[in-house]
Amino acid sequence: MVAIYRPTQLADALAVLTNETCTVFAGGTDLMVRHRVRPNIVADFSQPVMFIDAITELGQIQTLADGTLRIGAAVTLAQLIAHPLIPDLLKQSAAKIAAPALRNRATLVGNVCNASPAADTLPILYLLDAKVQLQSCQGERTMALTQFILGPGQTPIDGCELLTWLEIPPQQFTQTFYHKVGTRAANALTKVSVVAAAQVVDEHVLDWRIAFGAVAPTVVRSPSLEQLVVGLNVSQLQQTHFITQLQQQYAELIVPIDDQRSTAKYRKQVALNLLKRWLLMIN
Amino acid sequence: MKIEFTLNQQPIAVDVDPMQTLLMTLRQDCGLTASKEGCNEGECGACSVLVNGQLVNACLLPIAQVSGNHVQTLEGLRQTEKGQCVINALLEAKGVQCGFCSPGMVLALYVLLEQHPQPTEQQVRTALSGNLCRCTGYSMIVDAAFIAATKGAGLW
Repeated sequence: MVAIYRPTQLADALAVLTNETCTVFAGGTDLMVRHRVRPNIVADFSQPVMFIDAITELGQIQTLADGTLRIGAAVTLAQLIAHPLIPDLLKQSAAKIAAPALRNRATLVGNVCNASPAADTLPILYLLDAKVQLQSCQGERTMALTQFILGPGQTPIDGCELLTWLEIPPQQFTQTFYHKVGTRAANALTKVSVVAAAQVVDEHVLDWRIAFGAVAPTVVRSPSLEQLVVGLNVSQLQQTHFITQLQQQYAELIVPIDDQRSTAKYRKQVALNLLKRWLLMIN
Repeated sequence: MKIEFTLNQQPIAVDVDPMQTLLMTLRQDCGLTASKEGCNEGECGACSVLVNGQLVNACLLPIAQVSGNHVQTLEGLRQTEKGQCVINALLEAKGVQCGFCSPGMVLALYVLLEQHPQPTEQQVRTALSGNLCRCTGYSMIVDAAFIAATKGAGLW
């Protein structure tokens, strides 16, 4: 039987993590599957478990004075979907994860910390320039999500640290796009997903972004390619040769794999088709 | 480890491994076998129960996280007027064949009607999206949602 901790105060959790290496457990919907043994045998956790679901502070969604949105590590997907402050794109991607009962336990930050190439919320969080805040007894550090996700399942989080808050800076878009390709509408892991946003004023593109999920070890987003689109008129970016050229440039970044859910060829073609669809949608 | 919670309105204490699931605790320690183990990975919904009024997969919930919370299972819900309303609707619509998914379906339908007393078909299908049924083809279970909404008018 492993030791468990279920503090209600963040400081208590950080104090334990200073001395002991623990498995941090929020909703646990992935952890319980990863550590299960067989029916009627208790899941096999090899190290102490730190439950963070009872830390009320981390169950909050807040707006800071500068408009930054802060989402605590214990906020469930269901809370996120129901909250008025959450950007619609993030709600859409969270609502595509699993089914209601799972979303009542699973957390956004858990999805981030898993660092799965197919994580449903990562593309939108990349698109929104999200940051993560890591806290420990020694202090805290904030880094861009793009620096936090190192590869499949890999993050730079230290054993004494807790990812406490996810931060989303304020931003305005006139148009957004989200498309997840899965085998069915619910309970389907992603084959490929595309999320995009733009700000267009008088047919002039002031901001244009796109991120691709499940087509590379980490989410694909390219600020340099996005800059090729920013500043154009809508009519320019919808010309056939421009679309083809941009597809070719993104094709170099989109390097999916064959696995049990889909093939590399299908994923790449669908990702590039959705890029085209998004370009043609802009007005 | 001793864990205290409320089960179907009654306070209860169990002495089990804190990582043991709520499902295993219900079936083995509490003798409540309505909640079933289907996939054991949160996809089929056969283990659905309510924790503080929210639908959860009991197969993925360590009992440690249930400490201090309110659990309701089909055994408790069937004692209520709303529970009977859903069960009767499922019977009337012939939404039960082998019955393995039915306890979870009753709880999912109950939560749906508590949130949406007059649900749209989309809301019904979303509410049931985590509960798999291999017998009925779902249409009869969707019908049951509307029967329960109509016959239970004023109840929800």
